[in-house]
Amino acid sequence: MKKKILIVEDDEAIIDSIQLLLEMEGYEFKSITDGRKVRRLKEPLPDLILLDIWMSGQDGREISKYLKSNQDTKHIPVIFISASKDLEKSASLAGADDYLAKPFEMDDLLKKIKNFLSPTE
Amino acid sequence: MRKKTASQNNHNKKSAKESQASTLDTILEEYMSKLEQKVVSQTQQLKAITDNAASSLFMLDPNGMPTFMNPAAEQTTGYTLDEIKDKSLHTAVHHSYPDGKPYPDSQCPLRQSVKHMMQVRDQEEVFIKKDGSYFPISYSIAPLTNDGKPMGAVLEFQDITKRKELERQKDDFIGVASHELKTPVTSLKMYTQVLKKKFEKQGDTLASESMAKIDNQINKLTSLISDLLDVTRTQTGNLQLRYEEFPIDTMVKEVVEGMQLTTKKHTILVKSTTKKTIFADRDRTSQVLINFLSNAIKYSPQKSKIIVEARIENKELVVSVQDFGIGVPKDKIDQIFDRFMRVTGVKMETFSGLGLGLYICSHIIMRQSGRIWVTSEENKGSTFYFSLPVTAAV
Repeated sequence: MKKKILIVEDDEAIIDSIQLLLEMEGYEFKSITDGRKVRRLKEPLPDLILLDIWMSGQDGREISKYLKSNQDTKHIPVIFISASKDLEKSASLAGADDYLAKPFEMDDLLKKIKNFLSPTE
Repeated sequence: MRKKTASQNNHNKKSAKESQASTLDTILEEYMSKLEQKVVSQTQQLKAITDNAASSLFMLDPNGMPTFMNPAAEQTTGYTLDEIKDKSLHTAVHHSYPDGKPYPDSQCPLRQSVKHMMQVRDQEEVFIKKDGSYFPISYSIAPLTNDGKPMGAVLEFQDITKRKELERQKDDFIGVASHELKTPVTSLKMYTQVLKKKFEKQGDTLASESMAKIDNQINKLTSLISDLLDVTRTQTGNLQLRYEEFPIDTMVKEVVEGMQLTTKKHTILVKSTTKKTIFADRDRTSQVLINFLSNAIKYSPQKSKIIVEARIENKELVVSVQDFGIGVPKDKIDQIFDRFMRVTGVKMETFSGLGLGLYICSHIIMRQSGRIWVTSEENKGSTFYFSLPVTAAV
């Protein structure tokens, strides 16, 4: 079965370009542009979440804290992808598993994802 | 004609003396009155200047006690001279830091410059008003002497609250702008790299190489944006350092290999190694070396050799990058680490860049208690150095 990656990001072009990449690499891809919807995630849950920090009306750090405090979602690896400053500090405070500063190299993103999961298992 | 008697003669002499004395008196009186007028007019002039000056002015005695303040100084501080003349200026308006911690007299740069009769120009401190509020100032100090004897000093300062607020707004703006610039760059980079990979798989070399070139240009754009962001961080004191222990030679090797990929014309030689580790911010220290190397490449377009050395000298790591390019003109060498500084070649050729790189480097190095400097000769080349303490190194 393909592994599912969810991206929470309010920039359509970033979603689209990462979708191209991840589908090419054999992952199943889902996206959410409205951060509030993360709180209503339903089965099947994603295997990994890429989370932007600075979204219109939503703070990725709060979303991460929510996910990590919820029994059903706390096991899902969260990787912050953001152009915000103090990314490392934000990641550690919000309980994210890893982080990647925008703009990033395709290979770095794939490597970080592969640390947590391979495309199929 | 009748002969003059002796007494007559005496009388005449006396009256001549008297009249001489009275003429002298008149001259002296006139002189004194003119002098008085001059003093009055100069005093009035001086008062008009100090009364109407927009800058705040203090006269201080050699012990830093205020002996004069102009209306602007009274208005800015909220004090009158009578209220503070028995305290030193430091005790009155400069006794604590903005976080409330006491500011010892012995550490006060104003106090030190008055004491040691040093002239100071355009320095910044934070003063405290009578109501207890803090305000940033820019100040200058001019020592006063009389026959070489210290008489105190004139302190001139301006309240720079508005300027600081504008600087903060500018920094916020640059922060938001670089965040916004990075968003489209992120997707641009993703598309480019995905396409490059697709073209590679299809065996379309021209297309995949072109994509690699686009990616390289995007990286240049990214590094300009990062410089803009870094410079605001250095201004706002937000440049975070992440200390770790790492092997110096590996860091140098990685940076040199990476930079060698960006130039076909130049050969970067590593002449010496240290075989030591250092406790420092690895990424930021690499950033400094990358900056030195990209400058060496940029400013030696006609030459091919660049020499990198890393050595331990007196408990310091010293890293140098030598090029044989256009060099730094003598009159520019003191400003080379300033913001927005860019070197122009003798043929007036210009080099791309924002003039922020070395400014950021000097900040990164100084924050880690190191030193940064350059030796250079025009048309012969430059050697840029940075040093970092290795006391914590194993």
